[in-house]
Amino acid sequence: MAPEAKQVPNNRPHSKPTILGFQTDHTNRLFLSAIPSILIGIDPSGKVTLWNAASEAAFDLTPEMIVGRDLKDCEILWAWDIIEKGIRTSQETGRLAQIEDSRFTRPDGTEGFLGITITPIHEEGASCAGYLLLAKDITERKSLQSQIAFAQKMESIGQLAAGVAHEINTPIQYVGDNIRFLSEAFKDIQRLREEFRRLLLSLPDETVVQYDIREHLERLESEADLDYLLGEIPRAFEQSLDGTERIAKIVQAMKEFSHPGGHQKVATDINRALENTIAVTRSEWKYCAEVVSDFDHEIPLIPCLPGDLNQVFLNVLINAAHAVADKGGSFETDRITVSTRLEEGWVVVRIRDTGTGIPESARNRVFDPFFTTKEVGRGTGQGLAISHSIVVDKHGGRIWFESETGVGTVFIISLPISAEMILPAAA
Amino acid sequence: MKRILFVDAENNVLDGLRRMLHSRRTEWDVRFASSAPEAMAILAIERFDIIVSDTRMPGVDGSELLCLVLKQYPHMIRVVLSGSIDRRGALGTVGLAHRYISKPCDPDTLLNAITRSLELREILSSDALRAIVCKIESIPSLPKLYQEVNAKLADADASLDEIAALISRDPGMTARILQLANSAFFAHNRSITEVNRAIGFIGLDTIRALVTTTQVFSQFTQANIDHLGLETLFDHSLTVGKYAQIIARGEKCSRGTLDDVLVASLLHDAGKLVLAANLAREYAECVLETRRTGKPIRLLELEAFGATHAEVGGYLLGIWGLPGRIVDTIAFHHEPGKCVAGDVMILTSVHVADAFAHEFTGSSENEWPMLDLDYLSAAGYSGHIEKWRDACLSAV
Repeated sequence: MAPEAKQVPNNRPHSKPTILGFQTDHTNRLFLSAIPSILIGIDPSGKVTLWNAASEAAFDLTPEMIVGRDLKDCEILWAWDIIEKGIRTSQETGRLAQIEDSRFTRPDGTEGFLGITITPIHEEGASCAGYLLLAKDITERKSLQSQIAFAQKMESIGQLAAGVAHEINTPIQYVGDNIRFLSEAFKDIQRLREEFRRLLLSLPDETVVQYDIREHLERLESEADLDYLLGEIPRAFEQSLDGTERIAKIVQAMKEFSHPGGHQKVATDINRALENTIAVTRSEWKYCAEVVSDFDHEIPLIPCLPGDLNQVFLNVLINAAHAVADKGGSFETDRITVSTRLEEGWVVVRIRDTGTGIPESARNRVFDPFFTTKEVGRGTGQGLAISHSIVVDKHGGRIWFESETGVGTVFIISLPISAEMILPAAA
Repeated sequence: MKRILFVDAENNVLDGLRRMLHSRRTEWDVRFASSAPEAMAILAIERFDIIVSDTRMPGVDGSELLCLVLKQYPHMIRVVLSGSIDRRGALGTVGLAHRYISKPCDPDTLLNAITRSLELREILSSDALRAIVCKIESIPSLPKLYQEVNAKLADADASLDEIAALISRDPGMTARILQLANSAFFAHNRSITEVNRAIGFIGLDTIRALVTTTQVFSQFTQANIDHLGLETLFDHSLTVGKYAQIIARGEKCSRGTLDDVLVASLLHDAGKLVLAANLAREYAECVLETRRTGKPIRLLELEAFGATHAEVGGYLLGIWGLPGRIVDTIAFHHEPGKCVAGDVMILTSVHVADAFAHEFTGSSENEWPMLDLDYLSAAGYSGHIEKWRDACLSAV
């Protein structure tokens, strides 16, 4: 489930403020130099009081060059503005502040990311005695994370492409067959007309049509199966048009669905996004459930990353379809209900299925990366972990579920309607 | 009139097919069903020659339907016309369907597949035998090769080339791979006869998945092999391949034709395997009779089954959708003169190589003239025979 927004450990300071300053005894000094993380201590005014071995290695700056100077004036190639903001936050709240991805430049010129924790140090009874910056090069982890996110995106795109191809196959098949029929019917009618014309020309000017000619014409008509053609042609046109309309609709839905995911949030119509997701996943659910949409049409547009959010809806909807398919569901008996509501400043999306339900034993692990109950090849186990990160980290929203074995599952995704509501954790 | 039943959950598709097929109304009697139960109800009262079915349908799906048809109406040719794009799922109908066509397909593709399937019935005239052949899900392999291939497939480090080399020694597995690669699931225009390329097309992963989930390959029992002398038969096919390639190479054939010659040689006696696996008792009698009297087995087959292994093999590989030039060669390898369409070079080299192989091993069949001299002279090859014989002899 959603991790609580950064919990604050109770930072009871050590009885002696030994780690700050030069009076640190030898053992402590050894401990400090053994810590593989970057450890920087500053006093309340910002002057560096501690610069451990890992810091020296990471920035290629010795304690002699740094200690005693103002941290902001040091020649460290990092994003000082972000770090300064973090220190200020820590100062204002008196709590630990975390910076997830602060860029820095290594001594060899390559770029990386630092994950930094800023902890205020309290001397007993006194106010703040300074701050401890604990930092780690998290570049590798970050790149791994982005690879996983990318892989999940590819998985979604694969599912999307499969669904769309399947939906388009059928209308193309019958449009093609109808057009073949129409072109052959046209040839038959053309031949018929030529025959009629030939007979007409052969008639002496003033004659009443003779009996054998009438018979001949009737025979020609029946050979060409004219009645059949005249009856079927309009329907062939109608169904062909219906087919091209179906193709156009799915292409339109796909176009909107695969909205190029920029990094900027845009005002988005959640109902429409859900409609598109339902359309592009039709092949997943059409034989195992009926999908009912129950939208509140008054919900406002909300700022979000549409591409990412569509991915969340796709993941949840496909899971719902699989849950229903797994219990052998059918269009008549099973249902996936997609609803939207405005509830106290949140847009709440509920995707409810009448599927197998999530087994008790799996419920705590649903959002864990790599957790999957599906057979190999049907999912990488990243879908809900990524969805969780998109909803919670990128949109400051919440995602959770309620499930009952054998009855079904409802996934609830709630999104704040304005940027101000976004939880501080989403920075 | 030939009768065809189409099954699809989507009425628009059925309407489109109905109209498209209107122009064939004098040759084919077509009927339509929008679900598997409806199709079964129609089949229960009327006899059909071909069923063309979608795979994904609500309720009973296409593969379940084809399974029922296979059991209850084995004489029917089963064609899949599927909109599914999941490769493994689609190929999972292998064994159940003779032909696999993907939606959307050009009307001519479907018309040709149907026409071709109906034409093939001319090859094998016996209704009873056709029913047996239509029911066949795979041609069994030699246990040794079968196990080797399975082991290689299970070994993630085995290369495509190694696996292809093993499979191309076995008629059953080769036929299966070519059936898959030539199914219209793979969008390509040229028919594939090279095992290596066929495997590349299908993908080793897909083959692995199919081997574990479906009966794509199967094996003879060792008892059967010993009893029917099948080991010799496998060796014979490889020998014919060697000779036929020597002949074809001597005639400066293209690389593509050489591939065809090799595959047609390997498969030319596939009908024997089919008979051995499915009519074991009757076929064993033929084998024993040949050993006793020296009478060519094909004449005994004709007496026992009303057809020879050539027609049986040709028919099966034909409804499996293997290229026509291969199918014709298999069906007419004893009597090339009767083949009206086939590829002369492939047919000739396999026919001659087969005769040489029997001649060189002094097998009983050489008491009867094996070479169709009239055919060879009509094809202008009379003067080549001795040259070919010498070349093949030097390779013994």
